[in-house]
Amino acid sequence: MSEMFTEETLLRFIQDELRLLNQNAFDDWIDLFTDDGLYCMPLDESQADVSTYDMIMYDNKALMNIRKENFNHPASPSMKYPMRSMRMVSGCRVIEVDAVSCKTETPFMASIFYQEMHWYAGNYYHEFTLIDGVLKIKRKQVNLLNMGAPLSAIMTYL
Amino acid sequence: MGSASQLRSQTMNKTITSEEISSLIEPDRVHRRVYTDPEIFKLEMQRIWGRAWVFIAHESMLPNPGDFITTTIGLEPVIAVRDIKTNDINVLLNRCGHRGVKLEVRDYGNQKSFRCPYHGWAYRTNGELAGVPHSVGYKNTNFDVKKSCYQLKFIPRVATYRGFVFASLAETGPDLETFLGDTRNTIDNMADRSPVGRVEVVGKVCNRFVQPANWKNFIENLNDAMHPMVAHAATGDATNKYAATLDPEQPRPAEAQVIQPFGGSYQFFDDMGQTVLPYGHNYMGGHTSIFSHYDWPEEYLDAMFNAKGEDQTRRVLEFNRHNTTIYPSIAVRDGVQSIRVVRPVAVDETVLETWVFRLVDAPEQLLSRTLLYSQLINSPGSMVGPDDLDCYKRMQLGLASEQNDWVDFNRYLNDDKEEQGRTVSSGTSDLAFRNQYKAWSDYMTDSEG
Repeated sequence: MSEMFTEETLLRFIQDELRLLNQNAFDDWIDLFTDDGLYCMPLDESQADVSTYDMIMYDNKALMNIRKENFNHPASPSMKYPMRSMRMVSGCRVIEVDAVSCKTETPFMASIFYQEMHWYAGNYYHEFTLIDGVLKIKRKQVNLLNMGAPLSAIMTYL
Repeated sequence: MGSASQLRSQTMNKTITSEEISSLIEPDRVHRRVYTDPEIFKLEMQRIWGRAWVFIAHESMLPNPGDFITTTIGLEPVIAVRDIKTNDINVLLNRCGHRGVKLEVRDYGNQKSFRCPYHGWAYRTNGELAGVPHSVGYKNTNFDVKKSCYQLKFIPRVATYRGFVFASLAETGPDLETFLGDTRNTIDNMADRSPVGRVEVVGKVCNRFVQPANWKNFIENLNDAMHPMVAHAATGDATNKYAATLDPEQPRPAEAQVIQPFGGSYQFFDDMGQTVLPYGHNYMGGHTSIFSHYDWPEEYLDAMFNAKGEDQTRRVLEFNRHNTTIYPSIAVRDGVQSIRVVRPVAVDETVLETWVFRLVDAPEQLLSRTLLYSQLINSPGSMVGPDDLDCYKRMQLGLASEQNDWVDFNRYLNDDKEEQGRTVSSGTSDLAFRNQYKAWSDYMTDSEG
């Protein structure tokens, strides 16, 4: 097992990742993912294989790059409002680990100010791997507490 | 019409007369009150949503006896349940016959019976009251376990077309097939895109998007071909920037195939054309649509050719409609196997459901495109949906102004054509809106039903 796969190191990594999202620094945030990295937000906890169900979000790296360009685009009606956000985690737990990868569960709360305050809470599930000794996100899954409920627009990554 | 309905109708007529309703609709414009007035909204729930056939569910959502889903017809809460004895799908009012408690609050599940959580009245899946606790207290009273007022009320009419279950709160009116008319061809096309002619819903939960706007804002948007190149220009531009980084010799990625048509030219959408139908229904496209340029995997074409032959396969895949609106409750996208369902909540709040379908016995690659479309275009986390939402919201806010009463529908007003008994026009015409408001007016000014 890599010495990178300790809860302290991984928590610090996740906190740094969230800081990039809080700053809308999408280029740097996307760079944290592997080339085949994935960001997803399921509708239902029973969705075992996320690729065969509809989801709230399911972005591969191509879509992350499109979303980055769309963010704050002057022609977008919904992107004309200031957006400020803060994501908080209380600690992460390693739930699976082997020599080259590990999975963590991290409870989170996020506040997004976009026209009005929006609050989200749930669990992050990260899958990490090492590429040339550098920690990368292979998958980040965001399980909202209110997944499946009617939702207003989710304007950015949580 | 029963006495309660008469009372309700008389009560409403005291506040809004048919003449007043008619004065809100003109050939080329409608009054803002149709979007903003809570009394109009209440009347819509009775006269449009209380009469039209409203989409309830797809049969594949209820495969087993006792399977149920909960939903609404207008504001009326209903349970659709697969009867444990007959296997029929019953649509029942979700309200206990005792004290009015909403019986089932889960979105879906499986029950042999429904038991009220308050006093324990229990109902069979056919709506019959099976029993009440401590029934000795009802001796020598007006209560009778078999009295109709104590049963779960059956929604008067329920019918299914190729697995799509609709219900109507009205006891009389056109049958479902008459009501659907030519929109049946769109439903047929979605199913016929499967080698075995069947579709099934994917998953138990759908994306539900809350819109702080009137339900008609969304219904109109479905066939508003003047908005994509403006409201969705940013997404189109962002996709083009990404596409420019790719090797032009390689096949276009699915993401680009799905998003790029939203940035199509005015001419592209005009050429698509639109067709209006009775009861406020309509569709865009026919020969071309935003789905026309999708690639079809060889494996899929082989399965279709084997099942249907080349000619029939081509006819099915060249049937290119976009957003067939079955007014007022559902839009069908046969080309990408999804439906969008309207659930009104209040005059200024609507929930939009997106259900996605699998083509039975087709490669999973097609499902991937369906899911991609939903996630990119329709879900609350999509890029396209929030831009629409913001426009609906601003429209609702702007229409609150009392300084300008009218909403304009003049595009291609005098350019309608009759083709094969149907009225058609350019894709960016306001014809669909005018047709919807004709149906709206017909429903709303008919006080008798």
